[in-house]
Amino acid sequence: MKLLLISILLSTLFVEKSQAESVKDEVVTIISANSAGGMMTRYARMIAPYIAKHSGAEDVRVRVMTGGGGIRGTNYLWFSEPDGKTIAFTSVPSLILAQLSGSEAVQFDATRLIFLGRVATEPRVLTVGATSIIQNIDDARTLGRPFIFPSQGTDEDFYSMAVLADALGIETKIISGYDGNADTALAVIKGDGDGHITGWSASEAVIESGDERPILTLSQERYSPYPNIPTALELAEGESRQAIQAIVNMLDMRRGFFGPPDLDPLATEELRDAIVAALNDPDLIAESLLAGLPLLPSDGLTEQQKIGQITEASQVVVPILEAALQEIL
Amino acid sequence: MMFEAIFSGLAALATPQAMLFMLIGVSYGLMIGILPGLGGIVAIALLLPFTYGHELAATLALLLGAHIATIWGGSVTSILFKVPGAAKSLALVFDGHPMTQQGHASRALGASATAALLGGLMGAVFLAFSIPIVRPIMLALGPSEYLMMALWGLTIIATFSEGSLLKGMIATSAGIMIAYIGMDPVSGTPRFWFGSVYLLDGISFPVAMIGLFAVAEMIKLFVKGNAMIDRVAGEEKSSVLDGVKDAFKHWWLVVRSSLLGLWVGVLPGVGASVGGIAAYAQAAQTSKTPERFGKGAVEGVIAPDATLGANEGGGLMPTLAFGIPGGESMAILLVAFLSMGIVPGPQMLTTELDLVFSMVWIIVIANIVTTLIGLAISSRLARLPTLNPNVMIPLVLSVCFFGAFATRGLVEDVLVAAFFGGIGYLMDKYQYSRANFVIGMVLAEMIERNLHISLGLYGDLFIFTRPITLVMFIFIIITTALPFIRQQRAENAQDGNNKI
Amino acid sequence: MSRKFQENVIAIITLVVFCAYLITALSFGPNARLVPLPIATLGIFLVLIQIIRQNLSSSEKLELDLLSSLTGTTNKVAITEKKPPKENPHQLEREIRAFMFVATFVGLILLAGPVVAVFVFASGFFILTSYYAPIKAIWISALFCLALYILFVEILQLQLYHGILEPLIIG
Repeated sequence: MKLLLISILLSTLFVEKSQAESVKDEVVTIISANSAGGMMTRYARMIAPYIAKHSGAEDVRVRVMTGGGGIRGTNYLWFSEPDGKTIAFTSVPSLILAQLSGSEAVQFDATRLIFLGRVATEPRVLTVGATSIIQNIDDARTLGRPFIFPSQGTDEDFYSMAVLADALGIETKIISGYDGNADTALAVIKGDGDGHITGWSASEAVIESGDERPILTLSQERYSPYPNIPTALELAEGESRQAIQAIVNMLDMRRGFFGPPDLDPLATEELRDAIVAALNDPDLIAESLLAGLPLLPSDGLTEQQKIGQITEASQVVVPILEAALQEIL
Repeated sequence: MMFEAIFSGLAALATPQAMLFMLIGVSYGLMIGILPGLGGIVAIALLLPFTYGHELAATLALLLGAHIATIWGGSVTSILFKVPGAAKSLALVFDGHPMTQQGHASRALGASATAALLGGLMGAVFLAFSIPIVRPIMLALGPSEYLMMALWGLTIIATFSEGSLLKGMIATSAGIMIAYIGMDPVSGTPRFWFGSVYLLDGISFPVAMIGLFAVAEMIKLFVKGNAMIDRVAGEEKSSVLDGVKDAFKHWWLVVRSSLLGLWVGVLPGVGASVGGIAAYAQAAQTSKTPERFGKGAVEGVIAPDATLGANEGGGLMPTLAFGIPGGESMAILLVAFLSMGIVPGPQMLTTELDLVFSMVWIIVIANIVTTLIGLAISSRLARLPTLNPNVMIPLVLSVCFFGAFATRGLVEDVLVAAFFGGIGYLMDKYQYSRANFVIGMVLAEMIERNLHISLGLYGDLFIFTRPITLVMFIFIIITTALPFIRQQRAENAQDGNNKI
Repeated sequence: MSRKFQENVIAIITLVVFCAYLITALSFGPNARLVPLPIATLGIFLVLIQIIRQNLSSSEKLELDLLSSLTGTTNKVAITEKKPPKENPHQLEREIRAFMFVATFVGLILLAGPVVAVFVFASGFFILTSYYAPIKAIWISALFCLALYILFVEILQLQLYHGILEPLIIG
């Protein structure tokens, strides 16, 4: 009797292996590749139960795997089984840029990851100090001296500025080594730097208080509360536009879920649907408002297409990124 | 207008929920602070999920109360076990622990708690009154001045370090070198990482400190074979009350240290860990008897604690007025503020002044509550280091390794803590100053960042083209040379006397 | 082993590490090595002076400071510094045992995760040092372990590391 039971069990196991992988009644682990107390992990923890609810998974757990600006967790995901039981959540632009700039620590290929859905993003903005002679983006292009850009190092804003400078013909001097947004903001307010790039939410307070002035938005469309501020895309043409489009696409992917390459098609579909359903769940929306973690969802298929566009434009973008990196090495 | 705001700010806190939350926050903060490796940042980060849907003032009381209590919690372990609870409480090790060894643990704890209270109160008062002058000062100081501050910290500590100056300098260099493991903050170049993604993030300060001090002390205790503090020799020779009196007796030092703490808090590029060290340095430098420092001088406890106490008020200033957080924990607080609907900006200092005063009051009350709890438990805490080593070693080592693991949730950190434990033991045995090592580690990044920025912004000769920087540079040279000159003079005088 | 020999071993190891650091730093770009390179050079220079001084001067003067070596004067503060304490004859043996204890503890954490490791290490330590009777040792360690678990896992929401062994046993 026992033997029979065991053989039935074994055969079901075997059959399951040969069939498509479903996450139903399974335990799904989300690798949060950022710090335990940080925004990313708070997002992951908030959303996980809703993914469980909408996917039929027995449980969705968050496992924090901090290191190398998301690289450690993503490396781990890259080598995990493509059965849908392990997925990851982090800042997608950081991963793409780490790879494009040729970081030795990267063991993954971001273009081969399976994107499952975006949770949130916000447009990024180039701001200048209120006392600056630069009133708008044209002033920055015709400054007659380098536009001084205080930067935190090789983050997405550093690379974004490198592409903007190249595409819009702004002679730029990037000063790297600042310690966070607060530090670059202060440098711009003081006049040590001409302008810096941040998310709108980080700059809103200083813009409202009149200490900084926005001059350019890095997004697909103009930012509705500031309709007079042009987007970088409006100002560029041809190859330059393609480069900016790639950067905008990349910034747009911000906080996203993704799985390992060759993720099982059934699991991919289930997870993509579950993430869309979770992010539209009224309970989660209410919770996100309370927690101050805004949602701006986009489905997995759309995100996957963006990756395709980024890859296509990479011949234009990569030389710019490499040149920018070379300058500060 | 201002007085109205002062009272309405206090009234907002007079609800049962606010008071309860304050108590919970403070007790929780004390506990987190005492655990090695965990500090204010962890405390606030863990509380964030509990901050929604309560009264605004109560939530603020919970968050700020917890944050303030962690500071003194960190000092406790520095004084009693030579285990800094967080990077910023490092300076408490220098004189706090020698006091414990001499049987003045209660007094040191009393002085430390009172100094933190006075510092906190002064920080709050200055916060209220310095609102108009914060902005110009923030705008006057820049990267080249921050660089000078970091260099000043290094030179001061090097000249005051215990034991051989040469070995102290070797230790400082080693500390700076260790800090450069991982991604370079300027170019993102991975340095000394040997292909390990773990090393890419660098060696974490709290973990290295747990190893260098706590694990090393446990190894030492095992080798020595008797209690950390001899029960007879460590018999309490003074009381908590003596410490309280000490803090009031050195009121001028408290005032100076609080001012220093306030400004360190205001400047975003300067962390609280630098503040504690700078406070210690200025206390030693302005003392008439600098040779007592490092051997159990109560001023060495009072100065850093007053600075750390005042630091919070200072840190809130730019966070509220500009939305520019003064430090890491302030950055997390800012997230919480935004989620509570508090929008930072100059209007905080005009239309929302009562909210600012609520926070000032929270700082005041949280400091008082922390100090009251602290003074009440000090005499009990002071007995801990006399525990038998056979009990102490396994328990402290366990808490240390748990703490090391908890800082980032990485098991590699446990290995690193153990490795630094071995290094710390050897450094102690052969008298290479561990404090110098850690100070090198703390200041290394500040030096590197600000050197690069200064060179980029102001050119190679920035020291001479920036007037404030030049003044600070001359000040550094003078303060570094002063002890040597004094000594030379004393020797010359003695030679002269001998000739006569 | 004389104190001087031990001091030399430590100084030479430090020198080797600093040199390796310097050589590694040479491969970085100009910005990335701007600060590490001079610091490593300074470190090597200081260690060399230390080695020369500790071998040329008599052992009592080992603790003199740099100023005195540069100016030829003697520094009173430095001289009155505490001399290294007399070592007890079993020092080295105890040191090796202490290091082994720490290494065992860390090994246990890697193998079985912190909770199990703390229990095994604490009860083992109590029993080996015969501070508590075995039953009491196990009882106290279990209680302590539980306290740590509640504090870190329940209250602080720490995600535990489960050790290398767990997947091998549970699969």
